[in-house]
Amino acid sequence: MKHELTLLLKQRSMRVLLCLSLLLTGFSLFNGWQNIRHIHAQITQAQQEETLRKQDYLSHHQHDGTLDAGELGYYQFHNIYYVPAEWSFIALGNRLVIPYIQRIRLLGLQGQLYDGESHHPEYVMLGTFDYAFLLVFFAPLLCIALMHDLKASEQQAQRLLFLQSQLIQPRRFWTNRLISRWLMVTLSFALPLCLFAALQQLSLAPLLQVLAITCLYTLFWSLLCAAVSLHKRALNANFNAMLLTSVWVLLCVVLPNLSQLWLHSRYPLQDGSQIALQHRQWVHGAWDLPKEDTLTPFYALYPQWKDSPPVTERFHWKWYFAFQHMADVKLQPQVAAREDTLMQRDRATGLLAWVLPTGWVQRNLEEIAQSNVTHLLAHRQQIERFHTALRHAVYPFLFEERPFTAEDFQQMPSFESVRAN
Amino acid sequence: MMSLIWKIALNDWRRLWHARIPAMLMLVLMVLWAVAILAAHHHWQDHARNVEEVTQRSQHDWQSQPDRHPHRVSHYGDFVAKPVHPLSVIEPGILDQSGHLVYLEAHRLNSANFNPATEATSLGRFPLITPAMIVQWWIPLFLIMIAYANVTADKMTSILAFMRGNGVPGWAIAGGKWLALFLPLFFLLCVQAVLAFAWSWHSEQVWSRLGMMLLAQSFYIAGWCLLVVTVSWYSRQLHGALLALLICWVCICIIVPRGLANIAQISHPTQPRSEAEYDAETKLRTLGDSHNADDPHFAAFKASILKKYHVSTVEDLPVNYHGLLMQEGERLTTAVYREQQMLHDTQLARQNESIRNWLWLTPALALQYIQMAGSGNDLPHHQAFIRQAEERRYQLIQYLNQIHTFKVQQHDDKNTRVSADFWKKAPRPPVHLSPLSVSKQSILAGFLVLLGWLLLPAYLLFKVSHRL
Repeated sequence: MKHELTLLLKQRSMRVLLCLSLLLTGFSLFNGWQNIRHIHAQITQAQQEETLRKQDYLSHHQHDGTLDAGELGYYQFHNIYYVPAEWSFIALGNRLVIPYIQRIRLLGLQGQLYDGESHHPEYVMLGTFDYAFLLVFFAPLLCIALMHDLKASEQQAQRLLFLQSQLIQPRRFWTNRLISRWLMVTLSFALPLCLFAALQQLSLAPLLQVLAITCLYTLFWSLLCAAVSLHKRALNANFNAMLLTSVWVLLCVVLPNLSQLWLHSRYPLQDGSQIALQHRQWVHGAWDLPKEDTLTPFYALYPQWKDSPPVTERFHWKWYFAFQHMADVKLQPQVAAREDTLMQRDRATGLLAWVLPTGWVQRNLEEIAQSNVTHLLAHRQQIERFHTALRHAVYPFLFEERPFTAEDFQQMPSFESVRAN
Repeated sequence: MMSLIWKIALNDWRRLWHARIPAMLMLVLMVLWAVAILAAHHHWQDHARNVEEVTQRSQHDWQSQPDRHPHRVSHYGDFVAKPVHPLSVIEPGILDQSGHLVYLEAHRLNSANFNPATEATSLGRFPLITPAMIVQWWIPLFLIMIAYANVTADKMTSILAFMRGNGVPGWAIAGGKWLALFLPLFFLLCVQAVLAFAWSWHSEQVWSRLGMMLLAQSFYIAGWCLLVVTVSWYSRQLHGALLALLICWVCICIIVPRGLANIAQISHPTQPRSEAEYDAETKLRTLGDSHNADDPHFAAFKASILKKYHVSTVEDLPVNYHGLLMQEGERLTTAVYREQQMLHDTQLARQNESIRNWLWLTPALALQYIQMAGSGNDLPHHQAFIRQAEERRYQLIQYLNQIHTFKVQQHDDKNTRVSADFWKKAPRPPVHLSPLSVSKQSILAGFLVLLGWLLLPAYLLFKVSHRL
């Protein structure tokens, strides 16, 4: 074994390849980390500014120590943060597309939920350079480069017959050869990772998970390479390399694409634009309806205010916010159906991942990094909870027409406080 | 001399034909291509259908509005969907990442929303397989597989020395070997272009778009063929040639484009949209508040209006003062929002610039820029779309404000409803795909890099082929 390793490291091309791999792994970790750090920095800054802005709002809109609850609902924006998890740098997933800071006000939620972030779309399209990407795409290539000619190289050097006649335990010899190469590949990924985790003092459990995934994945490719290159008649290195590369293309590109195609036709998703159009119809159509049409169903949801003073004048904030909310309520079945489809797609991806190793690795790393579509949906639910808390905090003042004091303003829920519950 | 090059090329083809591996690889390539066309067509159809649906539905919704107050209509707003070019079948570019719907309303500049990329599962993180991707990634890879031994093997069996000894000039051998690799692939590219043309012959600028794409693709593939022959000529060992070429491929096609994009994002981060919106609102507050009677800007505005109509109070005006106020307000807010948009565009331009400085490292990315521009799915096209949508928004809102000014009686402003005929006649110019010239810069940069990509390996090959 030791002998094998020294033999391996004596070849210059192997050393170059392993150094390249170490370097790239280090860079991928650094890059992912920088991205996440940037998100953290932006969020911290936005949080600090949010408190200032609240003070600012208070000083601008205060009349004799009270605020107009209706104006507050219309003009005051509240920040929503999509905070990365500790290990998010490992697989950036959808974090680069989803806005990490969003602003929500008391109007209908569905009109506000889907705004895009102002990233450079071309670079989001090119994809991220993170550990997950490197592992899924590059590790197999490394395995192929190191292991496609286990037997064939000996044959080419016209040593194979001699070697076979010398071996007492041929199985053990080839296993050693394989394990030493697998070890090199795995270490070139695991070492930078461990070092990085130690430097940043990251928690251990996810590290172990990531390491386990890395080992399993490289083992899978090593075994695949061995199956091809240790075959009795596999004496042509070129043929092995091509066969393995074809398998790589199949597993890393063709099958994921075909699976996604299948997924999309199996679980068709209503386009989000339909929600936006429908939402506008509900919200703006309400202006032309008699006020009872909005308020009666609204009071059915909130019976505690059905005896509040009736709306007689042309405009009243409570009617306005009631129809904003009723649009969301009416859209709920569509939104739920959409979320359902997304969950079904995710579950189907999970099932596919059991037969598609590349998909399995990507999915599990994103699970650890919390940057998958399930986390997006959970985040949207948090936004919804926050929006509800906000409405419930402002409604009493609107419907009972109570004055909204500066002190009440300080008691308003913030996204953080709702998230903690 | 041409016949000599031909002879060498023909000989190479004969050899490729007898070794069965290249035929197998070609077959795999064809299968890949078929899958790509299937996937890309599905993808395009999805988008085209959405755009169609949104456009129809928003048209219908708009036309079926009842009599309303004009300001209500301007808040009701309008939707525009981003048009897609049929050539998106070759390269969907940023279709999934940029969002495809913009809501146009008064006093606000909304971003494009609903980008499908956010809602993709982990499978969405794998690179999309498209015809453009085949040219960019897979043809070079298969080329390497087929031809890395191209000259090295001749060297090892001394055939090369024998040929040179018989007086065949080095450049003829190099030319023949290159031609043997390039011609079949060029033929495939032409087939793709013809198919794409048959598919989209009725679309705008299809000749220039497709022609440009074919030219760039040929440059790119020709460069790879040159590189393969050159590396093969330099190498003494077969696996050395393969390894060197594979490392080139991994760096050029996969690692450098992603690395560059990420570095650009880290070194020139964009401002989050929420912050940009807040900045715009702060600026708006300093401009003046149209609801505040004592506001200096609007006080001056009021004075100028009164003077213009030679009246002493707002009530005596022959037109509706609120409408005038709305027009002025819209003019001011639009200026601020457009300035904010410009700021954002400059941030993106700075990122672009930082990438273009390093574009020579990766001709694959250069080709991608050209293909994205050709299919109308790159950033400049998207920005042009946003500008068009914003132009339409401003026109529409100001039209509504005009109606507010001239058709709504001032004394009964809030209770007036204006005939729905006015909405039906509102200016809502259709949003078109922008001409190719919007992405002139990225096309130029791309072609410059591709030209370098042709010249450098050609020079090296010329040099090495003269070695004895």
